[in-house]
Amino acid sequence: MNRTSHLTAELVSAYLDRELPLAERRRLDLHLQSCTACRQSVDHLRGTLGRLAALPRSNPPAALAERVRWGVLGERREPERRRSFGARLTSGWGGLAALGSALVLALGVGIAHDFATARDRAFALKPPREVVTVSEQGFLFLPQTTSRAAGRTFVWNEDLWVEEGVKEASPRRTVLASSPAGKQLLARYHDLGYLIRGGGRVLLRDRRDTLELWSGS
Amino acid sequence: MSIALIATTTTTVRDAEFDLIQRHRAGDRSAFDEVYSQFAEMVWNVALRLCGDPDRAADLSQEIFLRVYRHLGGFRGRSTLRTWIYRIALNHCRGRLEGVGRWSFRRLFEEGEESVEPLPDLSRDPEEQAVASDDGRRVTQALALLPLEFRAAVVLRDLEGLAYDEISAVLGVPIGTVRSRIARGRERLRDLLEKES
Repeated sequence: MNRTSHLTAELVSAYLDRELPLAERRRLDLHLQSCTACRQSVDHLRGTLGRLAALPRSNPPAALAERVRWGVLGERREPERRRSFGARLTSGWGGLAALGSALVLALGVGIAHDFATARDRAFALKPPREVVTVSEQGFLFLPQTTSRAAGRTFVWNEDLWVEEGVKEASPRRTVLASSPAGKQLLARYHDLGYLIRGGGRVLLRDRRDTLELWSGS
Repeated sequence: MSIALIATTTTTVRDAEFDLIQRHRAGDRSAFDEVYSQFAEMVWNVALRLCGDPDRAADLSQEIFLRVYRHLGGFRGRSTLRTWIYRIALNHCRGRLEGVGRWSFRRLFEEGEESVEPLPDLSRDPEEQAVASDDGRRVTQALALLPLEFRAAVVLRDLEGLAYDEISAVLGVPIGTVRSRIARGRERLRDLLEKES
């Protein structure tokens, strides 16, 4: 660098970050003393960095911890199931029976493995908290069952779990649990598996869509 | 801070991390809870700044923590736990966001209102906070227009405050590339902000 060549954007940026070796930094200091254009570049960038630094940080939503907890619970149960099956293989008559089951499984149902694993993981969960309350509707006092899953509250309505705040009449897209979209949804919210087991259906908001998740049975 | 003090602090942090991993491997369930409490804010803010949509950031954060959980037992301590989690977060977001484009950002500040609750800044009065929030919106929108690789470098440096060598470890690229991405990202950001004003 000399008096006629200006600093590159990369040098200016690293200079402000104090990420240059001392000798190089001194050279730049000297150059800046005599070059107005480069001093302006430094000031300009300093202003942009100040604005970036002023961006506020935010706290994660409260529901995130619950979602992670449920996801982790699903992960924990999967290896536990595998271990207990492995233990059966190594013990006496039970071992022979389990070995027989393993052969049948390997020959017969390999194709269904992916879906079964995702579904079992979801179904192996203990039920989320389910609360029955009595609510007033007109002149009647009716029991209302609510359940917590996917970090939200669902209200049981005849044959459908409806996410609180979602209108039952909303236009919706039906997603089968065994479809790629359904598997993806269950991988994100393992505990929804509890709500749809035994043929249940769940109406929920996912990003901007209203989905009806259905086990298909 | 003296070199001896830095070395002691680093050793203490690494020891604490080693204990945490050992507890996790031994089946102590509270170990992962500690990891979550320690890094939830960091993972959430990185995901939010990279994708720009609070709903999507929540999905990303959940997926990131599940990956952390799955692989925590295999953490070998070649980097700090923080760097390792940043790496998982960045790789995950990159995988999910590449090709998504700028549409995903529209929700963050739509209708002139931030849909996430910022941490309170007690050093500013309400008027100053309102001005800062307005400028924050502009900066966030400009940030959203950067290509993902520049955005990631700028987020790690200017919002997360990582040093170049740590960013290099997180992104898995040489320091020269980090330097260039940060500079180019900032340059574009500055141009975008100038154009707007």
